[in-house]
Amino acid sequence: MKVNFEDVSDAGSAKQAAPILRLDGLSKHYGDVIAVEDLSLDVADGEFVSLLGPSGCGKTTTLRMVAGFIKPTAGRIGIAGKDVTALPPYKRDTGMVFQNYALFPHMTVAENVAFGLENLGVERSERMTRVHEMLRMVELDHLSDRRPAALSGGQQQRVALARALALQPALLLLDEPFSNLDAQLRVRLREDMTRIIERIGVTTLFVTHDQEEALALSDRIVVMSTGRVEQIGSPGEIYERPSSRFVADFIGQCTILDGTCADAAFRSVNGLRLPFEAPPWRLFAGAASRTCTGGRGGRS
Amino acid sequence: MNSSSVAARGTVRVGPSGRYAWIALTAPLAIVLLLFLVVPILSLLRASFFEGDRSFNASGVSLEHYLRFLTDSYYLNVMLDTLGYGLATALLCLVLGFPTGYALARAKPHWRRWGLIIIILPLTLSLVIVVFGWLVVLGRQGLVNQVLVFTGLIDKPIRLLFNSPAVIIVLAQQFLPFMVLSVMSVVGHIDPTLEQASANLRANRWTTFRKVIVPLSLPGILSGLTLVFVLSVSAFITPRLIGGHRVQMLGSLIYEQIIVLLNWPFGAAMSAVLFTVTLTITLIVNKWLKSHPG
Amino acid sequence: MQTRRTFLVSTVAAGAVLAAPAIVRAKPFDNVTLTLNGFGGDFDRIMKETVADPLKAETGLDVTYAPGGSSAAVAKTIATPDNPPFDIVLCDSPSVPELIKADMIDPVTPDKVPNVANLLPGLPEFGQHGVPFMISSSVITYNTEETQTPIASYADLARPDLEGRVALFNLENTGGVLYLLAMAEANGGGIDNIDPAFAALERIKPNIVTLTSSTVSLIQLFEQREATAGALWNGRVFAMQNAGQPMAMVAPSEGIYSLMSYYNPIKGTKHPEAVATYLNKALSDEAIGAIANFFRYGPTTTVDLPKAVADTIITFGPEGRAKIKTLDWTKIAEKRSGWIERFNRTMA
Repeated sequence: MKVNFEDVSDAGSAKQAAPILRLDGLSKHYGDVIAVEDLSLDVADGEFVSLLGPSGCGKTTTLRMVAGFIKPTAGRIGIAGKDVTALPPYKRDTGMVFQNYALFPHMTVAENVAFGLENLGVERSERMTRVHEMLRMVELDHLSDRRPAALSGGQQQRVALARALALQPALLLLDEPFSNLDAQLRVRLREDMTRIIERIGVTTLFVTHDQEEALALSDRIVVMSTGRVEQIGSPGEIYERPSSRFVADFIGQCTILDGTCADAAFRSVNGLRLPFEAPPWRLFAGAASRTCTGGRGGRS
Repeated sequence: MNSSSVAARGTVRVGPSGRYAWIALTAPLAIVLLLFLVVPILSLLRASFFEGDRSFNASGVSLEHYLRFLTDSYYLNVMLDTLGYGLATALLCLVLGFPTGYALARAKPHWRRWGLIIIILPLTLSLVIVVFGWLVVLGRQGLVNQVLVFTGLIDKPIRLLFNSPAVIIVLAQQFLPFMVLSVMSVVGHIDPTLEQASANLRANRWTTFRKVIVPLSLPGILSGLTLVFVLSVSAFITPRLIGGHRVQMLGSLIYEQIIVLLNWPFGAAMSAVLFTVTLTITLIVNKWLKSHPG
Repeated sequence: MQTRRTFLVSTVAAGAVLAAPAIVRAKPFDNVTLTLNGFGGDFDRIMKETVADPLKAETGLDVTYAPGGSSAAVAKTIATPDNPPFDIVLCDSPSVPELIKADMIDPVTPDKVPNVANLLPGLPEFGQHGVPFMISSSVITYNTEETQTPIASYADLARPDLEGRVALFNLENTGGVLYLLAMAEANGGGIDNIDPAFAALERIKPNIVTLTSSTVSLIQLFEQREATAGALWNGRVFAMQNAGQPMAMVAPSEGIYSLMSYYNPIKGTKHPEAVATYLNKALSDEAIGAIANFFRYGPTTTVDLPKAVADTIITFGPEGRAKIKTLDWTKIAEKRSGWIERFNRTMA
């Protein structure tokens, strides 16, 4: 299927702002193995969207396809109204924070942040201004001459963020940036990072396997499982109204009951009767038409 | 149990046997190195100071051989030529070997294994066989001339042998594996995501190569350059057979003095000068590598 | 005559066996092994067939031909005078003075080695030191398909029509020393006045493709027509002709300059009798004749050769012998280092 992104953005401008990121029927197969299957998603300007799922669900593959490190098997990728499917990474308007930060060990903090600006041919004086602006923003201006190896994990992560944002990319890509930090630090850095991202208002695609992170940070969450989208929705929707047993199982802590539906009510296998008009609980269709597998309780 | 008692107990347990165990463990190699490396080098140095050009029953202490070498522009020119050929060979190996080493480091283990075998295989051949092979390949009726004539680039076979480019090419072929292996081992330790980070930061492949891969591979590049340089400047079979009389390298002259003229003192003095120069270069590079780890 | 002498030789050997103390059926050199440095390849094979195998059968003597070059063997021998690694060292004329200087050669006398009586008169260059067994001569060779006018002398190699076609030995190979001396003497010089030779070399220099110390390399140059004219060992030219190469062999008009290959019995051997027996066998017509027949280098004894073989050996017969120049190798050894240095500087 071919989508003309120019058309889409033109048409969109009439009704609402064009999406910064548009994924259209995106798939990635490795031989017979399906990594991502038919993923479509629009991310609006300034939106913070998480790709959430267990490892192997295809979320990282999706992110890497957006960044341009992996060629999709099928589908199109549009960034800021431009079809980038065939473009190499360095021609895509994204900034990425890698899981291990991938700071250049042979460069100072300032040189790391200046790297992208240099490649864009930004003039030296302007480059320096921007670098220090970025480093002030992440509160590391005093360490600009250090090498990455001399920084703590949290500091390295902030440098990586400053480096990614220095180019003022249309789209910020975050690949599990908190997974290498200990739990305490993680929460604090998460708050720091959201503050910065909110202030700049950059559109963000965030990959995580940590539901708590996704729920805390996102405008919308894409829950993925085995290469497929399970549900797209706001954290509230995902949490309160999971659309599948997988989502319910994966998000939050809940009680799932197996049972059958009859007489406008759910009857669990061990005899608990829940009338249909009494939330907060949710019904998922099971394999057999007359058997409902599971119900989701509220915060238990 | 407090920490001091642990320490005390530890010391007791290690005891004399533990403390000296490393001596026993390294002794065999140390003895071999002493007998077959240090002693010969020392006797070579001693021989270089003998009076006169007798190889046997020589005695005395004299600087005459060093003076002869260092005051004669002919020998100094050959020395400079030798260093020049070494440098040219090292650089050619770098140009040819870096992409290979890089590709092997990034290849799947299966391909890397086969690649390594192919790279190392030529090292198992006798140098003389390799050189005579080149004499055939570069000869008037050799493969290169045939290809050039066939493609119409030249009308009739040209002489490709007996000049310095031929010597540099053949030396580079011999020592290429050392460059490939040095580069490979260092590139193998460079995080591939750094290249992705670079690409994400708008660096095209060439910029990534220049600003990320090369600087991070520098230790491998330098150790490869040093290895190839040291091996090249001590070459003598290749310059003699491929270069003919027009390409003179110090190794040939040393070989001539030691083997043909049996003038060991002068040959030893030349060897000592070459040894000193290559050792100095190696030490400088090593020092640089230590001050720029990673 | 050949048969008669062969008969005599075997009789002598048999007599020696009979005269040996009567250890019943034991051979005199059982459990004795002589170590020689071989020349390698076909040479060692012929040595084994004509000398070592018969000696093993007759006397129980074992012979080992250790691989490695003869200069290395000479160097090793001189370096370890108390425990020389070889019983007999094979080397060419230029190396013999070094062994003599180091006093490492046992003189050879007819009473111990009767066959030395068969050596051509006046041939040995070092008196009783060493036994020559082969004469290798420097000859002109050229590719007859690529050379219009025959080449008759070393001086001819300077001809303008040979530009970029000449390959020669350098002075590390004694073949180089031979043409150098030939050109020196032809131009009024000699060992003590080498300038005329270098002047002649300067004239050849523009024609030179390359100079090498390696015989194999020089042959390859001619075979691949990288060079089409030069000077080479007579036996090697014969081998090329035999292999179908259109290479001419010309005795240069400057004269036949040769070197000889020697057996040198080394002082301090543990088995002097075995060494003498070996030398005697190695000087037999079978051994000398087999080498001459195979390599077509000149024999050093009065051995008779079939006409077809004799005709291809330029030093054979009274006429050939007369052309052989005898050289003062001791003096050459003194001068060679200077010549090589001058050669390196002027020819590069």
